[in-house]
Amino acid sequence: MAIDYQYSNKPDSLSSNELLFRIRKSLLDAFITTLLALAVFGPIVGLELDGYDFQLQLKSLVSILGVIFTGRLVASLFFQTSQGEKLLEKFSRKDTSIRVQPLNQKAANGYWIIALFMLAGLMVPFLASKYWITVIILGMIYVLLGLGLNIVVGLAGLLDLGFVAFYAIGAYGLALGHEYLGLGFWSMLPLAALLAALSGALLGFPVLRMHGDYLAIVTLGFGEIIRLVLNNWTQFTGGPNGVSAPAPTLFGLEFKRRVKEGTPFHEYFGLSYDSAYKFIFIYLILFALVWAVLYINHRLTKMPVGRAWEALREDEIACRSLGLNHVLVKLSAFMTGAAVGGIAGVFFATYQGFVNPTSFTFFESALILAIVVLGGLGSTKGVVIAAFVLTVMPEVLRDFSEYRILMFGLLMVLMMIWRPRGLVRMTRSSFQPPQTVRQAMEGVR
Amino acid sequence: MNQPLLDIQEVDASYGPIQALNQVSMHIHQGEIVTLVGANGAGKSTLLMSLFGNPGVTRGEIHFDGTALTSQPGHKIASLGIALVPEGRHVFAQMSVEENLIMGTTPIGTKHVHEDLEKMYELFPILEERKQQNASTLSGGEQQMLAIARGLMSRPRLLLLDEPSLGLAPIVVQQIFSILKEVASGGMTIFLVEQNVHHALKLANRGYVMANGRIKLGGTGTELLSNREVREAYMGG
Ligand SMILES: Nc1ncnc2c1ncn2[C@@H]1O[C@H](COP(=O)(O)OP(=O)(O)OP(=O)(O)O)[C@@H](O)[C@H]1O
Ligand SMILES: [Mg+2]
Repeated sequence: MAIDYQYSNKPDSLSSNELLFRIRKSLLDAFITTLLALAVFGPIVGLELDGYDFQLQLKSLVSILGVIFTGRLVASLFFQTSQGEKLLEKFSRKDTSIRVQPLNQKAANGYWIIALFMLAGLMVPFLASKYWITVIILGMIYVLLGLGLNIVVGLAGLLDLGFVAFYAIGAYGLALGHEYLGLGFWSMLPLAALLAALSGALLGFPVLRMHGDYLAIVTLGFGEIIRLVLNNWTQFTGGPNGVSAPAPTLFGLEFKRRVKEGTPFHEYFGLSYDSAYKFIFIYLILFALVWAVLYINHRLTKMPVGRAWEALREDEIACRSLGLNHVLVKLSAFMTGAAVGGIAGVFFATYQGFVNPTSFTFFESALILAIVVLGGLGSTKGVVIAAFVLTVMPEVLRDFSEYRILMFGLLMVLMMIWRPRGLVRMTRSSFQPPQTVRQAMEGVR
Repeated sequence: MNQPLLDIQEVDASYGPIQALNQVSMHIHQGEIVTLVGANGAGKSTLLMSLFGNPGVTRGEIHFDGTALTSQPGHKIASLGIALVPEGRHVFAQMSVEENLIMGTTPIGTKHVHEDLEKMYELFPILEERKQQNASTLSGGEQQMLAIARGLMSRPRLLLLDEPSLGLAPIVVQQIFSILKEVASGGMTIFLVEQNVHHALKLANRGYVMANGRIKLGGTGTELLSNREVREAYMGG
């Protein structure tokens, strides 16, 4: 390897033999890849059904194969140069452990970056078009969902495949609370969070003794039960027809063109009506809430309960011997995660103005789990990035929407190869014993 | 002598249909080192775990310093002053060494944490060298030391050790036993479950021999070491 490295450091001094060998290897790589691509794309792209007959679509097949062949050839050649090797090495570092930051090693410019993001985020609604505001709102809703599930799966290590249930409870909480109790957005926001947390406890109790696969199956069932109830309890939930959900109000001012009583928002401020105002308002509340949840999340990981979640994920026997009350620990993880999911649901309902059961299928749970896993189990930063990648990317690439699932799969495969522990490795500052005691100790010495 | 610190009376426990403990009685006095030896599957670990309510005791009574353990929920046991160092170490792999030690204070809170960390680092200097490292990167012996130190962080009055020599090289076993001796000389009461009969009986004041969920023999360390049955069963004659 050392000799190889020397060679690749000085590409000019490559012997012609070596060069030939590399080109041959790359050609072979490219050829094999093309064969595989032929097997995959041949039947899908090469044959087009035409009634009971089919036609060969050689042209598109050959062009796809051509692209793949050259792509693989170039990649193969590139990865044999010194830069390529470095890149490969950087990506294939299979360090799967969590990084614990020593106490004294604080991120110095962390606050600046946060301030910058806050400022940029606050400017978005006044600069971007209504369409982009709605896209980013959706992105932030998934950030909330990802953060909620991250507590359950990433921190406490409880695999939950039915997280969408809490999302649905939050969304329907707002819609039904408005329909039957006449409650608005602001009163339903905390109530829905509470309702979701209670259902989290409801789910938590029966699964206290379960782990891994069994837990996953039960939670999967829970998610489906909630969806089926919403779908079939027609008198109460409106069944597949759904229910409408109210928009938020600003100190009682509504964001509609005309209101039954009082004045709408635009008239009060002497503005002309614009449907974007509602979304700007939702954006701002959601933006504030995402930061609040990020902060709470950050605090929780430093508090005893966050420590207990991680301990539970690491080793249940050790937890038992240390006298951690694993009933409380598990329930608190389920409930906190569920509450965040419920809040996300309220925002989803108010943003859509309408909810029905098709928004809460298993695919949704899988997407949220994908966000958490892609982001890096336990990593808050990673979850935020992954949530935006997975929700905003499909919007950017609308032209390729037919290939959406294909790209999704591709992304997953690439991640498994290069970043098996997610985009951002979980990093946390190490637990600190209480500061006052430390200072007192130092004072004594 | 007065009342024992730990008093186990005719305890039965079972995993479903399998009865793992059968009429087990034993006691440990304050300041004693007592060892429990026995073949694989004898029920030694089960006895330790049953103190923590898992598996639950179906008959008999366990008292710790006068408190009936059987009527306490499992997570309250540790805060009564009993620390268990489980079989197979069970350190928190993705936490640093120091975090593992801090987790050890769970039963009593972090009041004495700085003082006790220093004490542990004195007792196990290797842990101080490794304190920022993830526990998963420690060697088996270091992990065992960490598990013991984590147990001591709760300032227990009774330390339960389940096979601390498991899978360790003789020299490391020696090291660990000499540390245990040091801990004991500070007045700690120790209940040691071991396969390494020779080491265990030499360290202990008294010992019990367990087989098939029953206590077969009991006596002082030297008595048991010279017992023909014990020698035949554990030391190849
Ligand atoms: N969780 C469990 N479920 C069912 N049976 C169990 C369980 N744990 C232990 N047993 C059984 O209980 C009996 C006693 O096991 P225990 O672990 O107490 O043995 P041990 O004396 O600690 O053995 P070793 O020295 O090998 O650790 C064994 O027959 C074992 O198969
Ligand atoms: Mg055992």
